[in-house]
Amino acid sequence: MTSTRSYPKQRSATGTAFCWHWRKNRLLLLLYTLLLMVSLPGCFFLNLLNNMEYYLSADNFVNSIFAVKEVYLAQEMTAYLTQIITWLVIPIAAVFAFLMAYSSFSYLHSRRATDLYAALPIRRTPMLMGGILANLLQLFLPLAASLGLVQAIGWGYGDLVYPFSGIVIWEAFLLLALGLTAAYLLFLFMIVISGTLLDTVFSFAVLSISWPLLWLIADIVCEEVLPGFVSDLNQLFCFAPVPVIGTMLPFLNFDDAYCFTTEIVSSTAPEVDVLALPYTPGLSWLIWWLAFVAVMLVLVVVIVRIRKSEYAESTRTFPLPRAFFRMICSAVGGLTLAYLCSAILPSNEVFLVAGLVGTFLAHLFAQAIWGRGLHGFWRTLPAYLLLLVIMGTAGWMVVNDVPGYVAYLPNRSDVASVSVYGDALTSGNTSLDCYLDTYDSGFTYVLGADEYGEYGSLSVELQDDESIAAVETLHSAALEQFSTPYLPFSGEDGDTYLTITYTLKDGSTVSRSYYWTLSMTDTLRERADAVLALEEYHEVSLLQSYEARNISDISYCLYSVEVDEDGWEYEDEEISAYNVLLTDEQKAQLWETFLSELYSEDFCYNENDEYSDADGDGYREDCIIIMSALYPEDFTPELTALLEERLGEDAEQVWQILGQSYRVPSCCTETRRLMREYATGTAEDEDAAGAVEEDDATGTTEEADAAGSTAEEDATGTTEEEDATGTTEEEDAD
Amino acid sequence: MIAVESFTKKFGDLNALDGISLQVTEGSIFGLIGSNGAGKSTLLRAISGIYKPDGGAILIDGEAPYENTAVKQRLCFVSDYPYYSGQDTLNSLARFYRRFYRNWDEEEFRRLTDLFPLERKQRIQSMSKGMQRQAALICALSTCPDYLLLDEVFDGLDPVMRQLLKRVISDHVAARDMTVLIASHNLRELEDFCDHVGLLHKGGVLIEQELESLRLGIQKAQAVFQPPLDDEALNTLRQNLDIVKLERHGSLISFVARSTEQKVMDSLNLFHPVFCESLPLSLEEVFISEMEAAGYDIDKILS
Repeated sequence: MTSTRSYPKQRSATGTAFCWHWRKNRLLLLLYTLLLMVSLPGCFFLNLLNNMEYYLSADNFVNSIFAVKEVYLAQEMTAYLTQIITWLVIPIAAVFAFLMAYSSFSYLHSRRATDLYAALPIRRTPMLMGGILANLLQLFLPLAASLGLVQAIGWGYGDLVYPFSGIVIWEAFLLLALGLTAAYLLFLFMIVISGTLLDTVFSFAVLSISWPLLWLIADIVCEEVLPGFVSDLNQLFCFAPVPVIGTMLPFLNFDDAYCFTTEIVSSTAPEVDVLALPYTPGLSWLIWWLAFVAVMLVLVVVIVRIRKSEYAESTRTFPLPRAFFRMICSAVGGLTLAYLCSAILPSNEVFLVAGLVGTFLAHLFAQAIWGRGLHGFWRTLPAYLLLLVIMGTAGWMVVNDVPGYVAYLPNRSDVASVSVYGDALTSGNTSLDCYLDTYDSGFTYVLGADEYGEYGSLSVELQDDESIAAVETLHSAALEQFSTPYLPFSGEDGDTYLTITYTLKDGSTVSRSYYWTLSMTDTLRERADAVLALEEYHEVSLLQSYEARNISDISYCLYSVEVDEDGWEYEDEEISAYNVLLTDEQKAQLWETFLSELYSEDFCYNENDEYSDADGDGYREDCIIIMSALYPEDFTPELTALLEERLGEDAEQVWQILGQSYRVPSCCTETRRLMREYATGTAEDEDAAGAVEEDDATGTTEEADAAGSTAEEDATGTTEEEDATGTTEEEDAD
Repeated sequence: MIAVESFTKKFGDLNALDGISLQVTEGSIFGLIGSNGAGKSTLLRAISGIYKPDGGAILIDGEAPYENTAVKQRLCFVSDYPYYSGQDTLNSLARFYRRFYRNWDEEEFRRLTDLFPLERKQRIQSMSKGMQRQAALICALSTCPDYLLLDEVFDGLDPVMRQLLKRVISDHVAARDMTVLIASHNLRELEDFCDHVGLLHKGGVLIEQELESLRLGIQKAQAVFQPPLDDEALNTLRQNLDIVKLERHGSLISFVARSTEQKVMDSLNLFHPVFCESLPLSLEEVFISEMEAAGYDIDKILS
């Protein structure tokens, strides 16, 4: 027999595996590429054409400043790109990450295939690494290509879609690449620890669903049980082992997207700051997913090396991960059933029994799926008992406040400042304090120039020792009233709340919120009044920091009022509304009148005042609206001083603060009269104003023209007419 | 040489192979026979480097095959149910093997595909069971292995193909001194093909011997005695011969003994039989006899 051996070009083992995996998944690659091309450049291009027609058509913009139209288009397309990435690209890529991983490594789940692949002259590690590299490249190349096409479309249209000139696109790509790598490796981890496809999918589903649910429901239960507990669930932690959702987080963050688009819209020159990053994942996001990828990669390599070939088609593979997943699943089952049953029958016994039954049922269910029946159930009982011990210990610690969470009161010497708010503070109080607390000094958002991803808040921060002592005294009274857990657990919130937040000298914060349904005790009421009476509490009014020039317009709304079965009145639908732009003279006159009435001895306001306007026609609301966005050039000296006082050195970084809407109470009769006058153009009586209001029941802003006011530009460079485009900056600011 | 030394393999609580030892010399065709569940396929998989030993060692030319690329380059395993993905054709299968096996011989592949009546572009999964097995064998032989491991390779092959396969394998053995380890239930096929056999039973090795010496070393004899042999004479016969199985029907006795023909005849002649003869056993008869000797109740299974 003659034999002619051909020696193919020698490749490294990883290279050989890479080529084989690449070839094996080429059909998937084609399909994936097609879907991405349709989703990204395809949909994007069609939407761009549609939007260009709308935004660049002169009729759709009263003011045709070219740059403004560009930035609106850019804003729209940025938002659209984010939507596509979040709801199309990530799900598609995640599905294909799983399909490619399974296509490459499904031989681990088939005895016949294992006979072929495990006998090949290649070690497991290069076979695995070649597969991972091929799969990831197959995931990323079409993604990069489709994003590159989006960028090319941006180039093709010149400056019109300038955010797509590079960094936004490729920042999104890097975030997607990291998240998808994490998702792919988790899929692979599930494949290599399982012996069948069902086990793979079930393990993945249990972890992805149970983990976030566990912390969510534990948080809810703690909130219901622990006095003062403030939910501080971290998104990243909640979705720590769920990379598909984790990948979406930077794209889902509305605040970041808002900051970005606000930045664009506020720019009259497109080239200014347009490269600001809309997707701000945060350092912790990056560190976690990088660590996740590293750990998963190591785990997958180690498991593949020690994995026995006979695990193929077996339901008994690696017991530890499965025990962990089963425990999470059982814990969720127990807490959920306990929560639901206790909400129906508030009782500690019901909570405990339902918890026990829930954990057992969930454990039974999970084992029945993984074990294909209850064969070997007894072997899982130690893990179940361990779970019961862990849950029992955790429950005992919570109920007995072992960590000292409930009783914790920071040392006064450690406290730098404290803020206090809540309807409990002002409930039943008839004073200017109550009004300011409601409309002025809760939260006013401050945006930093360098921190697009973060809002600052301009809340009431009391720093004087006397003020801190007063709040601590109030806190002590709350602790006395709520010293024990809210048991039996009922799953119901109170309708009155008080939140106290300490900022410690080391920069950390300690926050406690108390809810109750009954009236406040005399001690609590007395100490709340003492806080309201603080001199410092009055000094922090933003209202006094504004000037008439900060007014953007005034508004009036009339709502119908309905009475529910308990006799409570509540605002129903809007039946009439107007917005009126004022002249400088009108603004000055109105602001002076408003402040004089606000600080007069006759001023009277309480939380029920809003409904005291209700008459036969309904409930009315007159508002003086401060500009939705105030930039440094709009700041009054008082406002600048206030910012410096509150924010210290950070005040220099303030780029914008969001304005407020001040409701004019019914006791401010002169202010209201002036508002009617400006609305109707004459000093008519209320009936006449009412006539105008009826004509304007659509609630549009065209009254500005009727009032004869000029369309003055605000400091942002945008014009009042922008309101007509349908943007609702005031709503956002609120 | 393949050396299996005190090899143990467990599946959970089950000891599939328990401390077995055997050797397969280079250039031999070693038939691995045994009852169902004896561990033949498990042993082949372990030798192929698919299974990691739980105890003992498997050495191929002194090296363990598990996770050993150099050893695996020199061996090829064809399982009892070869795996093919849905789109595989003989051509794509060849590409796959060519990618991983350095010794892939394209010329031999072409020769074998001409020899076996297979369409290279036909999807393998649409082929018959026998043709699928032929496809796996063509690729395995084209890798020019030093060690070819075959599990139930004759299943599904028609007689012509069986003979063709035997010839092709024999050619490779002759030309390259290839070693073949073949597990099969079809003892008749092994009988004229193997030069060594190993008999596995309940996780252990009952016999490991050259086929010819195995045949010559076990005899089936029958003899007629007049008067019939009494129990004392039978016991003497048992003491003289290693009798695996003995039956007595009146004056006729028949037995299977591990012994040479000469010794059997000499032992019988001591009792002056009216008639006696000794016949070599077929491999199947050897298998059944040894299995019975090991406690495998053939009659119970057949009844």
